[in-house]
Amino acid sequence: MNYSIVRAIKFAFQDFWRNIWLSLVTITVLVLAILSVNILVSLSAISNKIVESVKDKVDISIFFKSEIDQAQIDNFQIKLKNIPEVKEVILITKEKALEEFKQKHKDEPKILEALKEVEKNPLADALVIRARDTEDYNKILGVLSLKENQDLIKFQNFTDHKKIIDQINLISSKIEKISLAITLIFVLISILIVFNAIRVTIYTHKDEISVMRLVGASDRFIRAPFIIESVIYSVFSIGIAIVLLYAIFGAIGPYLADFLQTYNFDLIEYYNQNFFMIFGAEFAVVLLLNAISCSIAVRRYLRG
Amino acid sequence: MIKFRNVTKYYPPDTYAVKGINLHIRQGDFVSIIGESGSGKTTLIKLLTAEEKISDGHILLGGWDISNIYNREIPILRRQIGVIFQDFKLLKQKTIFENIAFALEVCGSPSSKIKTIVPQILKVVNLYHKAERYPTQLSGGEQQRVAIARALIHRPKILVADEPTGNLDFANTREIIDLLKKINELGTTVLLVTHDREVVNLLKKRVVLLERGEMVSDEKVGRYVI
Repeated sequence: MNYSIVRAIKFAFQDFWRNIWLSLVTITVLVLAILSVNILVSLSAISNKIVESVKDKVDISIFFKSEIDQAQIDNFQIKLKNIPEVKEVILITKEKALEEFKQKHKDEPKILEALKEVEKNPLADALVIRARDTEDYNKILGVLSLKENQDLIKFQNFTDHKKIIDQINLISSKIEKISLAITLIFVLISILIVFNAIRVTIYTHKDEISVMRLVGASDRFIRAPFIIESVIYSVFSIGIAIVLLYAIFGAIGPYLADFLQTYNFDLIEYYNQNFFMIFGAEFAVVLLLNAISCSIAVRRYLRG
Repeated sequence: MIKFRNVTKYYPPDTYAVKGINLHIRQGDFVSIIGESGSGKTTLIKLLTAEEKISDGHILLGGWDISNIYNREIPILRRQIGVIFQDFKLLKQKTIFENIAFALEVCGSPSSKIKTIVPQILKVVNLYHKAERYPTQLSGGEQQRVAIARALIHRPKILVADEPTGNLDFANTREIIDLLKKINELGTTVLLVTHDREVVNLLKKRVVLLERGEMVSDEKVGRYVI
């Protein structure tokens, strides 16, 4: 058995080198298919990041009337936190707000002077409310509009990014659909080319297969070198695709950072974090595709 | 040794390649199976080596009924039956040594065994001195001797020769027939499929005649009478 495994591996490497051009074509096709899939993965990751970032910016700020005391604010904060749709409620006291205001306008002496002239802190205590989902804001706004609550509120500000989010969702969903269609077409073409390349490889060995059968080699042994060869194809193609992808990410990184600006998204970091999940899955699919093509192609010569 | 019991091979809708063959071949026999093209000679051999499935009847090899053989058992059967063909079926990119060693390699034999056995078998067929040559560098007769060496490498009890002299001139034909007789004298059962009149008459061995898939005669010491 050990002799068989060692020989199957030896035969597989021999075939790989003897048909080096065919091997290179097969690997190139696989690399292109893997790259196209990763373009889809990257686009999806970028659009998700943008949507998430915009969603994070959505909130409701409410400002209390000056006569409202701290105990009433605390009660109101607890009441809001009890609403299931509310993710968090942050209290910004008027003192803190003033400090932040001064910090923000430290280089604008006119504004600071005007503030001094007012003498009293003109700002109000505020709560910043964030919902679990952008769809939940309507319910929260409904609660805030109740009369008992409106009696406490001086004014409220809802920074509605819903339209932007909807637009981004729409665009990213379109991008995903187009990329998916392109990838599917590419994967289908790849399947055909890979299947054909493996068939040609096996066809060139039909005499050897016929002699193997004649002298009593088992079907398993006859198949083994071709299966091992498909593992070699898979390892090489994933390896080359990884090197190329990281080189491409390195090259487009600065442009992408410039384009995404405030979103702080790094593709290399994203791939590093999900390396085994992305490439593991891709390797498994490529291996499966190769093994199936190989089994179907060899089976033809094993009949009878 | 080999028993064909009412063996039939049928291709739908209405073609019988062989029909109702009853034949008993004993160990050490040398049997020539003769007949015109399409008489069922090669089909009979393909049924014996499980290249084709039997439609009806039984083939017994020793005590083993191979009529309904499982796919996984076919390699075991083929190691017990050496087969040679008119076109030799040698691998052109391998040397003579490698061609013979290949038959052992693919069946999982250890390298040490291969290094010992291959030179021995090359000496039997008198090609030891040409071990490193390629098939295209040998004559037809020599190539057939390599094929015989490969067929004998698993020490089979049966050697099947399907038109082994079809591509050879008279001198090479005699050489191959002498070699087959020598192998037979050493105890191997030989089944020779041929329509070469000279060969059959020269052998003076048992002759089975097939006509349109049916066995019409079985002579202990036969001649080519078609």
